[in-house]
Amino acid sequence: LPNDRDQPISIAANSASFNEKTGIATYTGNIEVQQGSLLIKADEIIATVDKQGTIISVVAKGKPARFQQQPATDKGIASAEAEEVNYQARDGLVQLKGNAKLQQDNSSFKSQQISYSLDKGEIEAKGDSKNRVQLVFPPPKKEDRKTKKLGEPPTSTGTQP
Amino acid sequence: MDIRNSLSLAGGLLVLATVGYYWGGLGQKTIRLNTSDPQNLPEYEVQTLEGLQTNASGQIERTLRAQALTHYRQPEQSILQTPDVTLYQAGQAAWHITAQLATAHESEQTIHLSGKVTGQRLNSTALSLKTEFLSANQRTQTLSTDRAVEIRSAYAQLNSQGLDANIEQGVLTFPAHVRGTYVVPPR
Repeated sequence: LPNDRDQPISIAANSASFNEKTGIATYTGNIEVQQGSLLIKADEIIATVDKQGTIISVVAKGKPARFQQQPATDKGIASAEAEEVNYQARDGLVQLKGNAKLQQDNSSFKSQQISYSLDKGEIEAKGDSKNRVQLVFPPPKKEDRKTKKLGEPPTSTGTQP
Repeated sequence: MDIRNSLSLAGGLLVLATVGYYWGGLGQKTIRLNTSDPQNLPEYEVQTLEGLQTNASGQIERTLRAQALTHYRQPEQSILQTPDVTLYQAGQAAWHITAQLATAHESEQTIHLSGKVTGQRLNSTALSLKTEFLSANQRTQTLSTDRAVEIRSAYAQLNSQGLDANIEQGVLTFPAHVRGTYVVPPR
């Protein structure tokens, strides 16, 4: 949700370690991170911070690591999963690597690697010869189909004669 | 959780490990016990201890208050009742450390704090630690406990079962049941 960023962050894990010299915090085992509607579940999370304590990157690993968030009140929950999810704060880039899936409101992306730009809102999916990119978009609702021509917005009332 | 906060807190507690060596004989009343059997009886006991230590240039380094200090010769150790220690940095109060009991083992350069152990930073942003037992080793520059630990700073709280801090390597480990909450500071 838009105000997720202002919500408190809670984290639970089996164990954690912090290394001041490298600026790396490692959480391991049954990890759950929650901030507003954002929920992350992973086996390991490695967060790297700079000297001022600002986050540089967060890497979540799991079988798979799972993310979900409700982007807006009128939208369905967007969920993502992959063997590794890599968030680079400076670039505002989230990379899903290894059996990556992105899903929202019955639309889904499946690929070996999916990159999502938080700033541009762009998604890039990369497959390979064996694992091709798979996209699924649900057909428009029946009432929309009668009136809808490709590219036309759905009409809200009644049907045309 | 800003790890530098937690590590500087651990460093403050570690300095306490040197307390055991300096505080003998600074109390208002020193009772030298007539010890026929040196094995079990203390060598001396100091009641209502209040001490202050400065560096070569006269700047305060630490102050200590305690109800009592009991020193044993074999094995060599000092036991402080309700130690209340303030550590100074550059003449400014930096850390305030309290416990119900502190046992300092001089030879091993360790101190065990037990019973409502608290550490609080005074000279910077709020930071505190609470646990029921904490062991500090001056030689290996390490702190450890297997008890529940709570660390609080201005915007974060971390709870864990146990803590291992290696000040030299700058590594803090929370071995079990880690629960953290971080409140996003107002923008």
